[in-house]
Amino acid sequence: MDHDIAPATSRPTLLTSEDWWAVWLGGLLIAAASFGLITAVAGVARWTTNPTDAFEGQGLSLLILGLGLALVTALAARAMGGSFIQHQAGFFFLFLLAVLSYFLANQTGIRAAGVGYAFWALLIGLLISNTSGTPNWLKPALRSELYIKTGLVLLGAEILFNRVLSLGPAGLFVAWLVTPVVILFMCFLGTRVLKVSSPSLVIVIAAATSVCGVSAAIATAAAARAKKDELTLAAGMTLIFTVIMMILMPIGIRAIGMDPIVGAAWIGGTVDATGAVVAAGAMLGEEAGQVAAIVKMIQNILIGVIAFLVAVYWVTNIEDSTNGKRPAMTEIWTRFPKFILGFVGASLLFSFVLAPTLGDETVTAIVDLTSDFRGWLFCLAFVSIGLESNFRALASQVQGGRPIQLYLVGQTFNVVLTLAAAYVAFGGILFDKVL
Amino acid sequence: MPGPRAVQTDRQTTETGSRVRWRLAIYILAVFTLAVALSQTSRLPGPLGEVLRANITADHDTTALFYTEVNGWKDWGGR
Repeated sequence: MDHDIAPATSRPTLLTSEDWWAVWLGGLLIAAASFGLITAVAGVARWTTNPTDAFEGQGLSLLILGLGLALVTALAARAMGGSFIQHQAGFFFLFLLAVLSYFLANQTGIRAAGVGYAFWALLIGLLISNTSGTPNWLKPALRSELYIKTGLVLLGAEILFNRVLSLGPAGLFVAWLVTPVVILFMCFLGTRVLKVSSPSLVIVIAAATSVCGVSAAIATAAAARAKKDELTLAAGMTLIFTVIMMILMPIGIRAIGMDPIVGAAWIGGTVDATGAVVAAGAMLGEEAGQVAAIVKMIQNILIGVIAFLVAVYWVTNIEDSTNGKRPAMTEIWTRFPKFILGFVGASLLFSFVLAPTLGDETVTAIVDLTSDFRGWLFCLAFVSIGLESNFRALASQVQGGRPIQLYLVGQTFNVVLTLAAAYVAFGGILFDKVL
Repeated sequence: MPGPRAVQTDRQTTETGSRVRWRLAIYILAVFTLAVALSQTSRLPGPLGEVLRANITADHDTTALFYTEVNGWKDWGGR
């Protein structure tokens, strides 16, 4: 993100381009998890009043994780023309800030309120960059794009298409009918009505609103080569409104006496973040919680398709340097963000090769590991983005409140349309009612 | 002996350094206050606090970004 589009003549090689390195690193971590070379990934535990509980028995594991990630990312940095030693030096401090972000997010009360590591990582990064300034020795380690793209290749392994078909038609109806309509509506609203100057900002906000919040924002931002400030703005809005909707929607649904199953499908289709959906759905009952979770899961899986389509659309239509003519296939290939191939490839490999051959249980065990790695990489990316941003640049993205208007109007449209779809699918009109 | 311009530059640097330290201290205090306030939100009375207390009781990770981060996702069945 934030980089200039490579001219047609430059052809990044397999060993010098960031996109390809994301594929190699993601592939390496997936292979290590699949072949049993890695059996656990260190994490910060939940804590309530005693902060040391967060690190109980995890100190050495976190150190090994930090060393391992520093080594593999430094190798990539070296191959891309950076300094191996300088990257390592900065990376340890960056990793410490990521640990601090997880530490804050895993406090019991904060975790229950839905304020996750992405929020704290951005805030801590912004705090440093806007006060003392980001130190020069830290800058070689700030490779937010590499961390995001590698994380997205790992995210691909979590997009299990084989599970979608087993999730039932009602959930598919709500999640897959409404989502594309909301995206198209928000794109029209953002570009034609509100005239937001950046198409990439519009698609990032649209995906965050209609698909699955921060993870969708990350995926589309990378696919559309959005600026870091655009991702920060979209992620910030979705994080705030997720907390508000997670709290208010179950209260409202219970207050008006809505069918909890319909209400749960409504929550699943509208609340941005998955964890918040599960929590809000559970407020309506156990069965309702399952319905909310499944609708959201189906939406989650849609992000693979959307990121791929956005990447194709951007290289063929938006990044047009050919004077209005349709670019040639070679030009499209040159511009195409190659990490998307790793992202889609990982999804297809896990869904249609590993799941049938190894079995669902083995695949989910591997996915549990890759998911932990992906969390750390996204956290490192958000700290890096915060460290590379400043409030003035962020304020310039606000453009008189138009992106916020886009989010609010789009989310309102999403809420209304999803409510109608939830009634039709889960209210006993189109499909048998879920008991 | 340093000239008046050099003394002025030194003073400016000291003032800037002092301002940066103050700003950093205020920002850290603000983040700390925010974290403490958020950690206490489940004590809020009424339905707002009720939702958050229910999340704590059920051990819901409301911060999960993707379904694979939610405990029990493997068991979610068809609808």
